[in-house]
Amino acid sequence: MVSCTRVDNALQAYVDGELGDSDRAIFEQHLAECGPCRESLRRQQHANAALFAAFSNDRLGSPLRHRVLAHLPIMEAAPRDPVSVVDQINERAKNPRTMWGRVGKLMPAAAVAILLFVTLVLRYSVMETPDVGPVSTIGMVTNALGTALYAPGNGPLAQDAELQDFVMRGDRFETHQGSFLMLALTGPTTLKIGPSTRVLVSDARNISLDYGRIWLDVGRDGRLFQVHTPRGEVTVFGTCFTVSYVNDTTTVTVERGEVQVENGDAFRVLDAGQQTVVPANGSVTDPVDVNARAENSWARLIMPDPTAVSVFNQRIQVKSPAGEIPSRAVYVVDTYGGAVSSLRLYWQPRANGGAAAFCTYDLYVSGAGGEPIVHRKIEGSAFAARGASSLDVPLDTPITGKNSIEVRLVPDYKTGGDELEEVEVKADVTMNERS
Amino acid sequence: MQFEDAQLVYLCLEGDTEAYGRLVDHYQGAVYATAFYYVGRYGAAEDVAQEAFYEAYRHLRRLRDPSKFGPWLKEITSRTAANWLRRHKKRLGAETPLPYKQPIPIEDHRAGPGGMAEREEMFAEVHRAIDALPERYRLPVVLRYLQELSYEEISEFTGESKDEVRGILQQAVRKLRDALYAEDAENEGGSKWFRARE
Repeated sequence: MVSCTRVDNALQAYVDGELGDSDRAIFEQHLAECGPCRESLRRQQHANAALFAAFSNDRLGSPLRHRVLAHLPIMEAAPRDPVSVVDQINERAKNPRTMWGRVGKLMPAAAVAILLFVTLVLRYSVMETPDVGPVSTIGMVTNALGTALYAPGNGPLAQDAELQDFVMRGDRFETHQGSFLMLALTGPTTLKIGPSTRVLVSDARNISLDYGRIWLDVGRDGRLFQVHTPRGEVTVFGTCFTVSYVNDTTTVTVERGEVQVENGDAFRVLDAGQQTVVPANGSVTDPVDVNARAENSWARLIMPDPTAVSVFNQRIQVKSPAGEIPSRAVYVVDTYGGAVSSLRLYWQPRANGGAAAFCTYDLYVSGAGGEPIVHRKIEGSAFAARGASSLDVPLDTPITGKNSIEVRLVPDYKTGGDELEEVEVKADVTMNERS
Repeated sequence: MQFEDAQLVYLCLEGDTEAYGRLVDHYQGAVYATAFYYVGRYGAAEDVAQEAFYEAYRHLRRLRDPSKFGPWLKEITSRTAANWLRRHKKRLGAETPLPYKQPIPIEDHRAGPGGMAEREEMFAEVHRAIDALPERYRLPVVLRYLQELSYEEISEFTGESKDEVRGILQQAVRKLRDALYAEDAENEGGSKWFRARE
């Protein structure tokens, strides 16, 4: 027979119906034989009843769901988002430093969620790995279904990729038909690998898609993000998109943010909810409106294992070097229909006039509607003159008939070298009435 | 449920507001009870609960471990309530807290003014006894008796294990039982407590 103390300790659970079957049987057997415990139970039941009664008129009147959903706010950006970059740009826009400012006023792209500048290069090549710190573990498998293989480096694809496997730089993953994989990478970035797909994770910010389809939600930790596929070249400004390479055709579908698809010198800018393809003949098609969520619905079915996510957050994500490179920005220059003959870039000169090389930049100019105008490559050496803090980029053909233009500067890490700091862009505009 | 919570959180982050609706359905009792615990006497529990869900959604990306949505939501609710009290400090200083609403069953009307007074006194005793509980015991008691949450639901929300919840409630109700019976004894062994449901 159990002791009275033990029964007393289980009284409330018994009253609340939270005792297991066997415990309850033992408990009731004791009660049948013990008068003092029966009296304790009676008092406990009365106390319980009084407590319920005391609160009975204060209960929640009607469900909160409709009231909450009717007033949902906009979800804020990720916590380690270097918001200060946008603030700086806003500040510059408010306080133009020269007379140019009146015409070539710098503005941040209005309220676009482009704190991140994601570059997606759909060209198959294994790039040099940018330095992301000494940690070689860059992620974790957060879900795996069916036959999913992985191989470290150039080894054979023979090992099963399993839940909570670590992802190291240079790992390759391959899914078979009806299978999928989900990885968490430092950033944090979520990578969902669809069926019949092969990818190379060069590092946490460089992914090559050999074939198949992937879905990405890229963490905004300020580092450039690149994806490579066998065809074309694509630059994406945004955080959530899919890329597929099937039947020799690359397709990019954007759920959030803004995307630029590039092939050689041709490029197109896509907004959220748009899709473009790079077919076998190589040209980038005009963006078309699609239901991106429906298009990407396959990815929605892949959910992470919470334990794996928890382990990833505790062991890997914390090691991630945060924000060592500032987020990309879009520079919008109001040109009021004038002719733009030249762009001028400004940056913060090195304090010590240091000799380290700058990296090469891609400069993209497009119209307000995203229509491509110019793509120029600027070699790192062009920024390297001692003490230099500005560079003129003359345009072969002046840009005319635009009320505003968008300028994007994308560093090319393949070339190595430092990034420019505190970049500003101005445009040399000749107004029609003066000419 | 925690696995499901994590899935719903991921869906929310992908813009699925219906998923957030399901989280609201699941946690509204706990959030409301927590808000009531802090600001119930000022009649602001529903407003604070609504505000807590608003704040949680706004900051959802800060949630590092989506399977811990419940305890995270509890912290946000507590902070929201504390902020509400701070915001309304001036006004509240000049205001007498509302009495807890009291159920008045028909039999009390039948019992006449005497029965009503007795019931009022009983509720005051219950709330005095709850206020006298150690801090750690009070919120689980409110979650259990205000919104009738199960031990599992309380555990999901407070982050304590089910066994801990069971221990806390056992201790808390025993203390309440002893306190209430001690008062009864002072009242010449009267059984007014029992009449609440008898």
